[in-house]
Amino acid sequence: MAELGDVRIEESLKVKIGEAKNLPSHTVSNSGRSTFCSIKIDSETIYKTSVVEKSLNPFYGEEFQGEIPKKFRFLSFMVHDNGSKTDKIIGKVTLKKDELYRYHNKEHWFPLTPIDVDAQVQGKVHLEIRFDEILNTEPESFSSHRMAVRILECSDLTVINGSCNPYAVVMVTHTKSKHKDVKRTNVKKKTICPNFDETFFFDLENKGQNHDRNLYTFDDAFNGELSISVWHDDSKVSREVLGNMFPGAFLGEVKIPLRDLDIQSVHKAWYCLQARENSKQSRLDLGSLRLKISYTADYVFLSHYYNDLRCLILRSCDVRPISASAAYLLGEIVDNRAEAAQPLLKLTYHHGKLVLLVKALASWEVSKTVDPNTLFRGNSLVTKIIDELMKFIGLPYLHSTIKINIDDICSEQKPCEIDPSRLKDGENLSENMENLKSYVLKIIDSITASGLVCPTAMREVFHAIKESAVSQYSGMPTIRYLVVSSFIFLRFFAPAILGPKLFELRPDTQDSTVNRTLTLISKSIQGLVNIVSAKNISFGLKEEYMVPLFESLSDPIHVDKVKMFLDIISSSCGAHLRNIEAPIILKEGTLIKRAQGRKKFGLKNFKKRYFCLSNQHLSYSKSKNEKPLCVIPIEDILAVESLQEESFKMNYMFQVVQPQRALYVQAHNCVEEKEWLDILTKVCNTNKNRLRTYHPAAMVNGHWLCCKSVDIMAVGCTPVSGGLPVTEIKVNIDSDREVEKIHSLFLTNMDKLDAYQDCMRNATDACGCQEVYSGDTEPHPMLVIDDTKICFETVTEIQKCVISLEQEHKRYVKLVQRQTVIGSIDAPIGEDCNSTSRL
Amino acid sequence: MREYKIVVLGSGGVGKSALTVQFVQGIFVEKYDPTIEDSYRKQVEVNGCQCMLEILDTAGTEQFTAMRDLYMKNGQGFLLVYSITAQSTFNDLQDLREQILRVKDTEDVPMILVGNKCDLEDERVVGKDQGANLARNFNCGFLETSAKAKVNVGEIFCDLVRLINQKNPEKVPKRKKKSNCALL
Ligand SMILES: Nc1nc2c(ncn2[C@@H]2O[C@H](COP(=O)(O)OP(=O)(O)OP(=O)(O)O)[C@@H](O)[C@H]2O)c(=O)[nH]1
Ligand SMILES: [Mg+2]
Repeated sequence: MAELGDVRIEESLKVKIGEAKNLPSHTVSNSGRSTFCSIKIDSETIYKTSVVEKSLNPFYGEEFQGEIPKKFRFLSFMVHDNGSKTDKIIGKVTLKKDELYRYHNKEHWFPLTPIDVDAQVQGKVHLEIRFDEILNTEPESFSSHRMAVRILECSDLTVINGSCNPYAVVMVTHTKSKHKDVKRTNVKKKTICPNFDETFFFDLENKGQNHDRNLYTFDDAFNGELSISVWHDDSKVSREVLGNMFPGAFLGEVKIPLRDLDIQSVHKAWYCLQARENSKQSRLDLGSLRLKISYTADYVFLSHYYNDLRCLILRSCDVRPISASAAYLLGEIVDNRAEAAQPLLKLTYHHGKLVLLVKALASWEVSKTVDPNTLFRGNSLVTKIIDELMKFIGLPYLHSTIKINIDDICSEQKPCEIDPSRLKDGENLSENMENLKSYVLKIIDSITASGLVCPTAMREVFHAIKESAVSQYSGMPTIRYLVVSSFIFLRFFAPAILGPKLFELRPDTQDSTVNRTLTLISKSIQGLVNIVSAKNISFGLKEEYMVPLFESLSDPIHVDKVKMFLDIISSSCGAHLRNIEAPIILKEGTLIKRAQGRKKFGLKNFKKRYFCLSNQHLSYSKSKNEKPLCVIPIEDILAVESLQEESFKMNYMFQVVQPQRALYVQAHNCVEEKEWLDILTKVCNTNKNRLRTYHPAAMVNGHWLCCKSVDIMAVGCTPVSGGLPVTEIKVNIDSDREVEKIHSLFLTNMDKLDAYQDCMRNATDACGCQEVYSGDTEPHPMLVIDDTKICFETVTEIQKCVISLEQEHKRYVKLVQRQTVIGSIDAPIGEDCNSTSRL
Repeated sequence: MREYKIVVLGSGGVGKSALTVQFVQGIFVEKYDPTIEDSYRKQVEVNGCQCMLEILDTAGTEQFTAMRDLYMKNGQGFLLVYSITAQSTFNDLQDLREQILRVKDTEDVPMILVGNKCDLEDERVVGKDQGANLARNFNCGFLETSAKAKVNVGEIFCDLVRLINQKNPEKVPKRKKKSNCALL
C-alpha cells in the first residue's frame, strides 16, 4: 500500500487565451486600447501575451502550457492597458484552484472584474489563542477571561513592489459597542516568512463594568470577532499613523468569531490569509475574456503500481487486430484523441515501442481507407500520435531549419500581397510577387536541405507509414510523397510558418501584414507539395491569383528537391532494412584517396577516385558509372574528421574512420573539403557506435603523429568534433506519470468501456465477426470491433488494471484524510483546496 | 450591395474546397489538395437582392485550428461540412459548432449542416436521418450535397444567406415572408 511520501503530485496547466470583448473605452478619447493579457498563479506572473493594438475587442489567440512546480490557490488572468506608462490593469478573472475542474477543457467567457489590491492575497499565519480565567473577588459577577493571542509567524507572504516588510495587526471588534481594540507587532524587514512571536492580551470582562473602555459584558465579548491582518510597511510614516488612513499595503487577514473558540482549550493553528471583504462592489461592466483552461493534477505512485497497465499498453503493438488493443481502445473512448495520443506517444517512445505501434496502427488505417487520396488526412489515433511526436521532439529541428527565414520575413516586412483585390495603394504586383517568390524559395531550400538532420524518431515513423501505404497502393507511385508530406508539410512546416508563435519560432505574434505574408508562403509551400504528390500537374481551378506562382514552383528543380527530401526523411535508419530500398544519392564527385592497406609499412599510393555518398553507403569507383571498388556502409563510418597536414604533407585531407582502419581522402580545395566533411558528418552523426575520440593525424612510420602511440588500435587522443546534432534532442519522459494519465483517461471513460463490454457479451458469435457498437445516447462515437474475443479480453484486462489502481488511489485519499491535521502548516484553516481533493 | 462573410468548416477531405469551387466556378475538383486558407468572392441573387458573398474555404487539418477562432470571429454564417462516407468527420462537427457558439457568445448563429459526397451512396456510413437529427439538435438547416454531381450546391450558400438576413435584417426593414429555406 502506498505511503504518503510515495506519491508525487504533478500539476500542469494549459490555457488558451482567446480574446476579450467590450472592454471599457478610454473615458476621454473614447478610443480603442492597446492591451495584453497575463496569467498569474497566486501573485506570480507566468505568462504574457503580445500587445494587441487599439481594440476594445482584442483577439489574442495565444496558448500557454507548463508544469506548475508549487502549490497555488488562485489562477488569475489580467487584462493590462499597455498605453499608460505605469502598468494599469483594466480587469481580471480570478479562479480558485478547486473550481478549475468546472471549466476543464471547455471554452468560456469570463466577466472581467475590477482589480482589487486587497484581493491579491497569499500566504498563511500561525496563531495561538488561549483563554485564562481571571479570578474575580466580587461574588455576583460572572467570571471574566483574558484572551492571549500569540502571533507566531507568517509564511509565503505577497511581495509588493519588490519588497515585503510585514507586521501584523491584531484587533478585537465588539459587535454591539462597535468598539475596536487594536494592537500590532513590530515590523520585520525584508522577509516573506516573518517570525514575530509576540503575544497580545485582551480582557473579555463580565457585565457591570462596561463603562470601562476595555471591558465588556461576557455576552457582548463573545459576540465579537478577532481579526489578524498582515500589512506591508512601505514607509515609516505609515506605521505612525497606524490604524488611521494609511496603514501600508494589505497582505491578507484572518477573521475568527470569538464564539467559534472553545475557551477551555488552546488553539494553535495555521490559517490561510484571506482577501479583505470589500463593501464597494463596483458593478461596472469591464467586458469579458474568453479562455480555455485545462488544469490537471496527476497523483503518481511508485513505479511498480503501474507495471500491469504499462505492460498492457506496451503490448498493444503486438495485438492483432490492433483495433482490439488497449492503445487503440483508449483512442476510441476519449473525447479528444490528442489527450490519448500524448501519453501513448511518450510511453511508447520511452520504451522503444513507438515505431511498432505506428506501423500497426498505420497498416490498419490503410486497410480501412477507401480513397488513397484521403489517407492519413483525418484525425485518427496514429495521425495524432505522429503530430504529438513532431511537436514533442521536432521543435529544435524546426528551429534550426526555418527560424532564420521566419525571422527575416518578420523583420524585413517586405510587401508580398499578390491578390490584386487586396493590393494596397502604391504597391506593385510584380514586385510583391518577386518578394514572395524569394521568401518561398529560400524556405524551400532550407527545408529540402534539412533531410539529414531530421530527428531519427521522426524518420523512423515516416518510414513506417510510408511502408504501410506503399504496400497497399503499390500501383500509385506518388503515394509515398502523399503520406509523408501530409505529416512533415501539412502538419508541421505549413502550420509553423502560418503561426510561428505557436511553434515557438517567434516570441511575439505578428501584425496583419506579416501574417498575410506568412499565410501566402504557407499556401505556396503546400501548393508545391501538392504538385509533388500529384499524378499529373493541374491547377488553376482554385484561387486565380496563385496560379502564376504555382506555375513557377512546378519547375522540376523544385519538385525534385522536395521529392528527394521526402525520400530522405522517410528512408529507414536501421541497417538491416537498407538494402530493400533504393539508395538516395547525396553527393558525388572526384577525390584523391590514399590506399587503405593495413600493413604498417610499405608505400601507400594516392589515386583519383569517383566518390559517391548515398544515405546508405560511401563508395568509390575508377570513374562515374563504373562498378564500385569499395563500399563502406554508413553505420561503419565511426567518425569523419579533417586530417592534420603534416601527416602526409598534404592539405585538404580528411579521414573517414571505420572499425578497422581509416580512409584518407584529399579534396581539391577547402570549400570542397568542407562540403564533404559536412555531409558525411550529417549522415553518420546518429550512428550508434560513433566514436568519441579520434586521431587528428595519421599513423606514419609506426606511430601516431599526434599522440605518438605505437599501437595502431590505440583509442583516439582528441575528442571528435560536433557531437549529436542539435536536432536530436534527448527528452525526459516520466513513464509512471504517463501511465497514470492513461489510467485516469480510462477511468473517466469507464462507462464507455463497460458499454462496449456489454455489447460484446451480447454478441453471440464468438469471434471474427464485425460488430458495430453505437452508444445508446446519440453522440457516443461508434466502435468498430474487428475481433470480439480479443477485444473483450483486452477490455476486461483494462478494467482489472484500472480498478486496482483506483483502489490504490482511494486508499491514498483516505490515508491523506486521516493524516491531515487541519491547522497544520500543510493544511491551514481556510484553505480552499488541500491535498485530499483529487480531480 | 450587401456583403456576406461565409466560412466553410469541417474536417479534412470532406469536400469543402470542392463545394466552394463548384459553387464559385462551376467546376468539380477531382484532385485532393489540402487547403491552408483560400478565399473567393461571388455575386449571387437571393430573394431578388444582389449579394456579394465572401467565402472563406478553411483548412480541415487540425493543426490549423488556432486560425479557426479568428475565422469564427469574423464570419457571419457557417457551413459545417462532413462527408457521408466518413463517420469521424460527422462526429467532429459537435466540437466545431460548440466552438462557434462560444466564440460568438450566442446560441443563434446562422449555420447549415452539410452532408457532402451524397453521390457515393454505396459508401455511405452516415445516414440521412443521422444528419437530420444532428441538425435538429443544432437547431440549424441541413442538406445533403454532392460537389461532384452538383446536388444542392447553390442551395446551401443561398440558404445560408437567407439565414444571415433573418438574423440581421438589412437596415431598411422590409418584412419578408418567412424564407423557404430547408429548415427541418
Ligand atoms: N465523390 C465525391 N467526391 C468528392 C465530393 N466532394 C469532394 N470530393 C473529393 O474529396 C476529396 C477532398 O475534397 P476537398 O474539397 O479537397 O476536401 P476539403 O474538405 O477541402 O479538405 P481540406 O482542404 O484538407 O480541409 C477530393 O478528392 C474531391 O474530389 C463529392 O461530392 N463527391
Ligand atoms: Mg480544402
